Amino acid sequence: MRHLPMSTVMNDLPADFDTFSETHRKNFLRIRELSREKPIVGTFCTFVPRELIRAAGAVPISLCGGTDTTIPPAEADLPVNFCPLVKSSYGSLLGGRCSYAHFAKLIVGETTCDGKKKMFEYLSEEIPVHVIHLPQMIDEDSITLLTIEFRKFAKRLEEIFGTTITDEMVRDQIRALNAERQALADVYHLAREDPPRISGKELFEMFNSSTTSFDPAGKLAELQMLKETYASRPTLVRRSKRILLTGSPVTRATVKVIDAIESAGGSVVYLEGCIGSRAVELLVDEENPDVYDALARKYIRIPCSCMTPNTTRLEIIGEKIDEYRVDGVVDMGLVACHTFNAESTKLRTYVSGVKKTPFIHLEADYSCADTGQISTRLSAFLEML
Amino acid sequence: MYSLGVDAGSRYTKFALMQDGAVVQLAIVPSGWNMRELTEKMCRELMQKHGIARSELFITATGYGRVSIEADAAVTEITCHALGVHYLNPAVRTVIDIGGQDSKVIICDENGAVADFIMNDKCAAGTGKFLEMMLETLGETFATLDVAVSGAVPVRITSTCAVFAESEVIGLRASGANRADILAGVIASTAEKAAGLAARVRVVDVVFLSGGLSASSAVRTALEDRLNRPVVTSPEAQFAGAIGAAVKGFPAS
Repeated sequence: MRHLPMSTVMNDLPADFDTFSETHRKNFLRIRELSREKPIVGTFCTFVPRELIRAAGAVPISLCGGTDTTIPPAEADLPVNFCPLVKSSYGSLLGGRCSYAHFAKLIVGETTCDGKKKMFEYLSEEIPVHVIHLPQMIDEDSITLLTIEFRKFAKRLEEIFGTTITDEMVRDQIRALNAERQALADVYHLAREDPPRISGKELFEMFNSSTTSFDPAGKLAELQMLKETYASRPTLVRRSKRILLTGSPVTRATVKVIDAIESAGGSVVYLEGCIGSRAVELLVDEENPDVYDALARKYIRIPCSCMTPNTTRLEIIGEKIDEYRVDGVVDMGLVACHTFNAESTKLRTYVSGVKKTPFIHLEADYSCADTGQISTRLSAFLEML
Repeated sequence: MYSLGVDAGSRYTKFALMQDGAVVQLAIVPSGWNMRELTEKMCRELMQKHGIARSELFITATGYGRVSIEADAAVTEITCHALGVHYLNPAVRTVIDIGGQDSKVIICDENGAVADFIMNDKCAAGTGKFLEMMLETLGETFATLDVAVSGAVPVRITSTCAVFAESEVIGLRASGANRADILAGVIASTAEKAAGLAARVRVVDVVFLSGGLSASSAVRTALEDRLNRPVVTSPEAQFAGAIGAAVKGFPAS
């Protein structure tokens, strides 16, 4: 493991900053300004309770890698046959290329997939990392453990930012983030219509931009405006086969799957993913007197394949097939994302057997080498529908 | 009205000219570098030979080169293989196509429409390219393969990677294994890969082997052994994709 050329305690610039492109330099300086107003806490997963980070007066920013260019440096430490999202994330942090990570005061990890667990071990040798222990079964003991973990996380945030997080502050953020989830849902519900009022690509852009927002109030207004714009514009999207996309996280590097579906004449009407509705659907109970218990009960129900058994995912997909009148389900697993790829058989049996809906599983990598293969598979799938 | 199906594969480009739902002519040429030029030339020749004007002809392209050639429509090889096999043998519900750079298993309904499919195109193992590489290593040609393996006892080839399998074959040759037995082992390995792919979908009834490898009865019987069910084919099986494309073009033509 090489030493990370980044500093998370000082707001200075990377040593090789002058070699960055002009856009990249500008972006770095912009993030530096923003981080001086509000400290950044970097996250990698929707299981991290953003409510607590915001209650501590910080901004939660998703640091998940979405490009294959940062993969080669990561392969010095991580196996080649490893999740590209993890390698991309690790490489972008290792190379000091990620402005958000560079100015982050803390990186938050979580025990979701094995790949990320090992990445956090390496990262913690260099920078402050707080790992949340996520239990992977849904029962009362697990909820108790997660409640304890969330309290520990709040304490760590209090120490780092020299602040006190009261229950009332957490409750305020629960309300604020519920409102943001509701605002996101109000926009993606437009895809229930036939033809949908929003394309899959637009859904992706909306979800993706919501993971790096510094201004919660502005975000809410932006989402409300987005809803009005999409709802009032003439239907741009033609009537087409309606696809539910699920599986490993769709990032900038794998948005090619959405492109392949939509250029072959389909419409992604529901994005069941981490950059999608996976963590948005279920709200946090605002009435629960124990705010930490309320958070634990929401977050433990995120239908990630790291959970066992992950029945929540089947239930949600079944429900959405009906609600969005889905013609076909596309299940995208990242290469070497073992849990999502393994869960595919179960999902296929459920979707094609119980829901009588055509199903296809495909693996995607971060490189563009598989673009043609993905496009052939998805075109054939759409021809089949 | 005429319909021409062009199946631009990675190794060969296949043409099927049909009139009123029946095949008029089939043709096959190596794909070469410029599929677009090759297709144009073949189209001109076919039109000239049969006295067809371009306005009387609907061209449907399929195969991996379908987007790079000029046609009236482009349809994936999965849809076309199902339709083409349905034309050749309407009783078939399961198609295994071992192509040059991918292999696929297709389940179709009584009209030749695709009901489910699975493709292997991430890896050379179990593709025509794999077999071709191994034949080259062993100094054998596909045309004489059936004769070469007659009576042979397949040697087990354990590597699933085409590159490692080649090393394994070279190793077997060096250790004095019988050439015919190694060849039979290569065929068995290809069949095993295809059968493994088929296990992931629900195979229905008789299996139809399409694609270039269907010309070898040794491949067909190896597949029968692995699948434990009858495998049929047709002398026109290599043209299944092109025929399917031509069939697909009819409602539009």
